Amino acid sequence: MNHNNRFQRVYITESALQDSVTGDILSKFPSRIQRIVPDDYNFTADVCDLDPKTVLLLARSQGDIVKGCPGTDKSYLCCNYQVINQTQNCPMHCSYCILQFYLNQSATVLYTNFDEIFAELKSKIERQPKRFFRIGTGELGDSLAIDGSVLFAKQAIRVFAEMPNALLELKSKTADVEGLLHLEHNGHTVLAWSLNPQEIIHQNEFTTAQLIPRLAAAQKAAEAGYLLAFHFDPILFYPNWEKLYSELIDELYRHIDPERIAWISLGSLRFPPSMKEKIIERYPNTTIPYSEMVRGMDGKLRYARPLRLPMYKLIYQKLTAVPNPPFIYFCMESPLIWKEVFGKAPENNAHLDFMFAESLYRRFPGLISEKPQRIHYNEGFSLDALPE
Amino acid sequence: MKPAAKPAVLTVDQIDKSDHHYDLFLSDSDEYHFTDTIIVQKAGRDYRIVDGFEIINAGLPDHYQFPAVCFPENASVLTILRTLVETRVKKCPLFPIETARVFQMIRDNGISDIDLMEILFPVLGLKADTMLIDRYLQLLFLTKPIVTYLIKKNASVKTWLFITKFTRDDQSDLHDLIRLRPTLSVFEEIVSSLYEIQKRESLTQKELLTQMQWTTLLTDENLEPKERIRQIRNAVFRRRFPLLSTHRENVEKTLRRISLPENAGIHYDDTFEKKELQLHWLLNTETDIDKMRNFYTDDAIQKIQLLLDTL
Repeated sequence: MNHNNRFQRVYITESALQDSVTGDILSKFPSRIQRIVPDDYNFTADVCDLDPKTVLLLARSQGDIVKGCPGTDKSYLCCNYQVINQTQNCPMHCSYCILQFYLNQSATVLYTNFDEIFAELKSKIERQPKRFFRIGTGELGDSLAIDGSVLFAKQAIRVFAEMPNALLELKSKTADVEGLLHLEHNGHTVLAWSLNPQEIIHQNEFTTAQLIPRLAAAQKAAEAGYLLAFHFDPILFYPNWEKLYSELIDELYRHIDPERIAWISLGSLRFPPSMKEKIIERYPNTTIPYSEMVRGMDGKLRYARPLRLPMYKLIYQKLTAVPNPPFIYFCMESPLIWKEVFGKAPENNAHLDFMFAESLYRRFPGLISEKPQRIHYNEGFSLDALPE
Repeated sequence: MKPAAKPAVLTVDQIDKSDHHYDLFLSDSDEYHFTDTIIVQKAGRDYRIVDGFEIINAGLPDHYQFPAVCFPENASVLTILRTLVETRVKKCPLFPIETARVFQMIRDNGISDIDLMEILFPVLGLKADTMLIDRYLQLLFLTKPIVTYLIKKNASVKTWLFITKFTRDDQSDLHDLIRLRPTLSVFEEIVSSLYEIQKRESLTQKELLTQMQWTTLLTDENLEPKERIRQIRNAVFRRRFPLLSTHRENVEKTLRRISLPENAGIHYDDTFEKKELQLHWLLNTETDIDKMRNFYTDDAIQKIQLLLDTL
């Protein structure tokens, strides 16, 4: 599905015009909706009546955009994931999506100074050569939903192909991967999809690709030698969740060989309390804010533990009931939940980061040249932090 | 140039007491004396009150003189309302229902929402959003007992606007609850839960309340009002959070099996995000210490372990 036609207006800053990709991106949009503006132009008033999802801004980034994932409160474990915020916001409409409320900006932003971004990335990665990084572009937007994101992804795949200690993760809810299949990725790109049962996609993930097309795209990616990842996040509580998620996992393994899956994340629905009213306002027919949610230790609303624990247990059991199962982890869950579902928990975020590297080293020989050492992770630092 | 208000000295008999055109605000006769300034508008031979209706019921003689701020007959409604609202909010914020009445008057006079927003929103401290006008206007459909309750409890705007999600018919079901005078927080908890259950279970309010025996419980004269509120609150919570409630009941049942001395307490996180118990002892005397010592038998430890497992 092409999401370009969702944009009603495209702003291009004067400096972004000088970047080579800008012309390529603009060629996808009719000139009548394009406006060239000074770098410091404040267009907020121009677009106050427009949904930021329908306004595109092509600009050069100001400051660092390669960063550590902000994660959540330290009561819950996070995986020390790193992000490249080249794309900010998403043209698709998921009822539960935090981005539509989290990003306080008037437009969907695409940064066009790719060379500077890659230079920033390389210089930061080089400072920790013994650590293996997982870096994604799908934190503040979908990695593949907009042409400008896809152009970045294509160049990033080539850049990461030559980086010995990093994996690029492109996370998406789209199904068009044709343009990526022939690229030289050198096994250093993971193509990832968020997954939910078809019924939940239909009711909550509007304008995204349906389940089977997502899995078919993943199948093609695997055939092209890419590693895969899947994110069961957010897991939603439906009265028939057991059936829905069981069938989803059956469908996943019907399409995908588990041995090609680098990792699978699990995370149940969670959002800041202030988002509840906004979801109801924006999606009046959705029932997801009315589930049994409590305020977690990080202040976010999440399903009560007696509710989410059985869901996690079933999903984990199903996912691991195959030979050589993928590495499975929780996104923003408590050590208690880890222990209750997996029987063990990482000691801390750095340990979880190490567990990823260790799993990749063991399961995908040749991907990481040296056996990962725990100390490099314990002493590691986020890409947006400078060591003391 | 717009006609401006001017000071004047009037007598009571110059006031048209039957003209309540601008009588939009709740009477403050119980709690306030005269407003600081009487605002009037010329209307034919007489004057209509814009602000200061208390003067009508003050029992003053017809020849009594008072200072006033007087708008000319051709002053625009919006100009008058801006002055009126400015005067009012200086004394205290408007109740949402009063804001709604102001908006209604503006709409009735064919004034655009944009003008309303530009002129009055800053005075009212509202964020520029035309949707808000319609949301406020919904307040005019609240039933009288609900309006009275929300005013008395000084409810937040959020609560006022939330109640508009209930139809007038559904609002009347809430009157049984209001009659028992619940605290505002309990009222908010119960009504928001009722609303959310209906949405989640695709039920009408009538169906839900019938299933919960709402009226029977709330009008049970054999129970004290506080007890009725407690029971309905529990029933609503149980329906809103069925799994959590069952889990809590299991924990409480296990907890009751532990014979705790009266100087001891066991506490747990009732959201169950933490699986931990806290044992508290109040130790004043040697007897208290003996009770603690005697408590930790193998049997008690086993039961505490079971409680921990149940969390």
